[in-house]
Amino acid sequence: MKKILRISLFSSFLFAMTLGVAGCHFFGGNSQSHDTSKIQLTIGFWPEKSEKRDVAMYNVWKENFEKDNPEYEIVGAPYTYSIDTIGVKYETKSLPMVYQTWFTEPETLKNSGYIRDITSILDEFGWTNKMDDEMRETLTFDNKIYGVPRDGYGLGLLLNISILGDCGLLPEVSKDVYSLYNEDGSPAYPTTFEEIQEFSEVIVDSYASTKGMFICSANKQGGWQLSNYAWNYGAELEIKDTTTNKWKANLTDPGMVNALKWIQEMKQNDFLYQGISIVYDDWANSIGEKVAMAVVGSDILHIAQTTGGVDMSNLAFVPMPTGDGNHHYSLYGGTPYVFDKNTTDDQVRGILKFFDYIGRSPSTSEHNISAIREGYEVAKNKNQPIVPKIMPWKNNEFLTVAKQLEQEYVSVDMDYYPFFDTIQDNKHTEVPVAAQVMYEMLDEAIQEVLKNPDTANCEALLTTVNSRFQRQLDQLNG
Amino acid sequence: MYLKRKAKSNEIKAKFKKNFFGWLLILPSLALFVFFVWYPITYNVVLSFFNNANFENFVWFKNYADVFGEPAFQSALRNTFIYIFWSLIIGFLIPLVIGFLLSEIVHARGVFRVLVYLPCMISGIAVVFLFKSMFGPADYDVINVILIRWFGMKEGADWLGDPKYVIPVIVVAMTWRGAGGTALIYLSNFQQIDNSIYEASRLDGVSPSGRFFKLTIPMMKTTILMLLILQIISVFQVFYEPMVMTKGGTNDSISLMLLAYQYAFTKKDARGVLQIPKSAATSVILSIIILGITILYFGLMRFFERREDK
Amino acid sequence: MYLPSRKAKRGRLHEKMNGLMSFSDYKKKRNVVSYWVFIVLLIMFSLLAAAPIVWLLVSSFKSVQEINSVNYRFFPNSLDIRPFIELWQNEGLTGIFINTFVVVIFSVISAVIFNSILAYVIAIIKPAGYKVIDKMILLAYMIPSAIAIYPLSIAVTNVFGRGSYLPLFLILGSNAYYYMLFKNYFEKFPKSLIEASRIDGLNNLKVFFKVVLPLARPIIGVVAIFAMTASYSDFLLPYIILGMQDQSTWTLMVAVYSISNRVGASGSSIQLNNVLQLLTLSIIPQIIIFIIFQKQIMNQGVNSGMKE
Repeated sequence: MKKILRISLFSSFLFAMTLGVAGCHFFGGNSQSHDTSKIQLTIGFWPEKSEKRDVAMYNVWKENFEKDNPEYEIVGAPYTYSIDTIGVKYETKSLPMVYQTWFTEPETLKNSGYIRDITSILDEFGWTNKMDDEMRETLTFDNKIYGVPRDGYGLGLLLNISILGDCGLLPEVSKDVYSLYNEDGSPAYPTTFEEIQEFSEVIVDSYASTKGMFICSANKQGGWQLSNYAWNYGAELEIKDTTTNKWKANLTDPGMVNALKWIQEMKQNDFLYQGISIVYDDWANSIGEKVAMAVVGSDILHIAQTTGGVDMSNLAFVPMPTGDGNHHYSLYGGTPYVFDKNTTDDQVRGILKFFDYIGRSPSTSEHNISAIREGYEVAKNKNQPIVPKIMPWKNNEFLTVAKQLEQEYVSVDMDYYPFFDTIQDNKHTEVPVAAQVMYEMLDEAIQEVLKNPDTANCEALLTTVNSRFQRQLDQLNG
Repeated sequence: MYLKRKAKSNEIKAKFKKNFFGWLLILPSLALFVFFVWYPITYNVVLSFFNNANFENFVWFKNYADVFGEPAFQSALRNTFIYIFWSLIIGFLIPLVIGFLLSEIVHARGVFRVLVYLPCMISGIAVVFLFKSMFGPADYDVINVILIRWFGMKEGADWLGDPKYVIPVIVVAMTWRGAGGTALIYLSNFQQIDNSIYEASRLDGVSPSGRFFKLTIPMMKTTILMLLILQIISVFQVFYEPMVMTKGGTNDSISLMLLAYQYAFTKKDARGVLQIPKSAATSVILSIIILGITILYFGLMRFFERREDK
Repeated sequence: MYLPSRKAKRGRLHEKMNGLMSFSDYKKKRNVVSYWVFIVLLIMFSLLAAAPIVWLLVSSFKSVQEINSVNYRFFPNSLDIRPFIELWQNEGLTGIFINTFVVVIFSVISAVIFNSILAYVIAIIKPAGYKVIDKMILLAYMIPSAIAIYPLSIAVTNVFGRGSYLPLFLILGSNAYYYMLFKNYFEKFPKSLIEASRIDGLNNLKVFFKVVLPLARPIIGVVAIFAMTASYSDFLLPYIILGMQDQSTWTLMVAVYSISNRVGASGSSIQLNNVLQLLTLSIIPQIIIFIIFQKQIMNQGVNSGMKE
């Protein structure tokens, strides 16, 4: 009997050793206790602990908000969205109520049932019609809105003006200072795809290793950018048959063929950043010396400096070039905040109210504006370059105040950022259905061209892609 | 009579005690095996016959059929053989050679041993990032610089982007990390070979190379076979190498394990839903292949043993 | 390490007794030449093994501009240690290293205790049905643990909650390879020893603690070192469990992966030189461990006769 007792004791000791430590906070994960009488709001876009300045700022906002709205309690639950983790996070019910995702994601998130629509509450707050139209469109499925935009982005052409100027491609105003414009005021920067080739030729001739242009070809980012080129060559990539209501793939459009052929010519002449499988992320590390031009989204221009170590004063950001001499479309979207499926109406309301305390609402209330200001201050103190933003709200009273604030803080010379003057006229949202699938297939076509620039047949490649894509669309057409 | 019965009951008691204590003792350890090993594998096998992760409809072998029809799976299956090919050429021979050389030399053996073993200490994920940094696509990335400056290559290669090179480069990275450890195993086995055998054949006038092929290699047969099989099985573990090196793994380098991971965590169908049952099916197929190789290995070992007995 | 005196060195080839070629072979010039070819080959292999590490150490001192330059230079412009310190502070590496060492320590304990008890019962006590269990563990040995990562991740979160460290070291308690190492070792124990201690009135548990474990010290060392490197290097499960948690909960490998992949992600980003610095910092503990336990580490692989 004694022995049985002893052995059971020992076994339970083993269990205790393992499970006992679970009680300890360090091992127990995120089991925190909260005041249950309040409505909790878990915020996924809360800054990471290591970002001390931002956390301090958010804590002040939290305090202000909770003072005015005592029925709510804000809980920071930092979550960096990634396609690896979202599924498990959802299955295990550990998603925060609101989190930031990428502009490409809302459609799949909605289809997977991970996020909820917040249309009625947006209407209640009167925000629906204040949202930027295109951004709202990318968040709307079946007439329901699935998120709130944080800010917008548009694709544009990023130039290293030191390299271009050094080759004599831009007029020199004073020593090592170059202008984007000729004396008659016309743009000296490339405005057509053809000019990019001409510029590239000069650059490649002047330097041993520097190439003309950085283009992506992998991770769906090649197709993402190529679709923009194709629009500017006059293409339309997906057509809805008005009688049958079915989608038709149109990737063999002459505009698309010309866009791909342009890439082929660039590669044949060795104007492109070396490599076959190139991802978007690498642009920031390339724009310093490796290439002189790249197509980049306007929302992350500052990482040229923070990641790539390139001084912003060496750069300029101009509208997308045109292929057909007519269109300067800029692929346009927004970075959204989305709401977990299990969030209640009351919680969504609370979170939207909180947006007003952190500078994310369309109102001109005192806290909203001062929060925007604090955001700029923190960025400034971190020595982060401040580039203009594409505002997520279009109501005038907000825009006036926000733009004024922006001017106060922008740290780059706006003469070199003509992109922002024209973006409102050039906006073009991404293709309406199955964009990611299309991008992935276009990637393969680009890579084929990069592998065999002299033999690849663009028409044939696109015909194959088109029929494959049509099969995918047929699945959706049902 | 009474004594006998008592003895018997004592025996039963002892047996019961032995079983009871034994099971009680291993209960925690077994619980871990159940939880971490057997339960997940069984779960996957069952799930692979259902239509979604909630086990809604039993669909027989539909997931298997679907998976075999997908280009990504076909690539992964084909890549498996390419991985095996290169890992036999690079990953299998080099440790054998190093092990042999180490066993033959008398100068600075300790230094050589330390140096070739050093990479084994570095974790796999760090090795992958290290090699990714070295094998950049452009002429100014270090491997290309070396090849151009020292070996007169005309132009750098996109090592990780070009389907021709990506798998060999991944195998080189794996071999760099693993070769030292395997070489030491060979070394100890080379050293265990009885000297008198060499001595005898030397007296018969057999040349060193003759001795190597007629004596050394046959004596190392079982070691070589074991490490060969382990080498092949290690190929099926390939997972984060292509994931890191090619930013998520393109069809050119994707492995079955990575594909199983992608189906479960990142790869969505046209409706935007994760394909978890397909992940399960891929895992089961992978397990079956590994089991097949293992059985083959044991079969071969038995065959060799029997032949030796004769 | 054995350092021979100069005098001994000169005559060494002619004193060589062991191996394929002995001193009598080295009377022939041709064989001496091939011996030096061996040496040259080994020098080459050693350089290949060491070169990437040296490259990493040197390159991690470069600035991001130097790394992104189109003119490749091997040596950095300066050997400034400050960027390392900055990275350490910005990413909270103190906490991450502490997390890692906690996981490593508990992993080693868990790997030794659970596997050795299991092996002891199966190899020595042999309760009814022990063969079935042994076969099932053998089956698990060949199948990589990552193969069922989805069900595992769901089960782990359901049982332990999210972000728990427990599964990270408990999983090493169910390692088929460590179990086999223990079992093979225990099976070689002389039966008489166990019998004798039983007659002395020790129960099974006492036999384990007083007789088996003290004798098993060498194999405990082997498993401990294996478990140490394995848990330090483990990536997938920690990533699934901790990757989506706050950065302060990460282990080092999760940090290496997640931080290095942060290039270009909107909001926060990391410079390429920081990636190299992080890699350097992550391998330093391993190099130190190697220097301290050099002999044990290099012999363990040999003794156990198998790869990890």
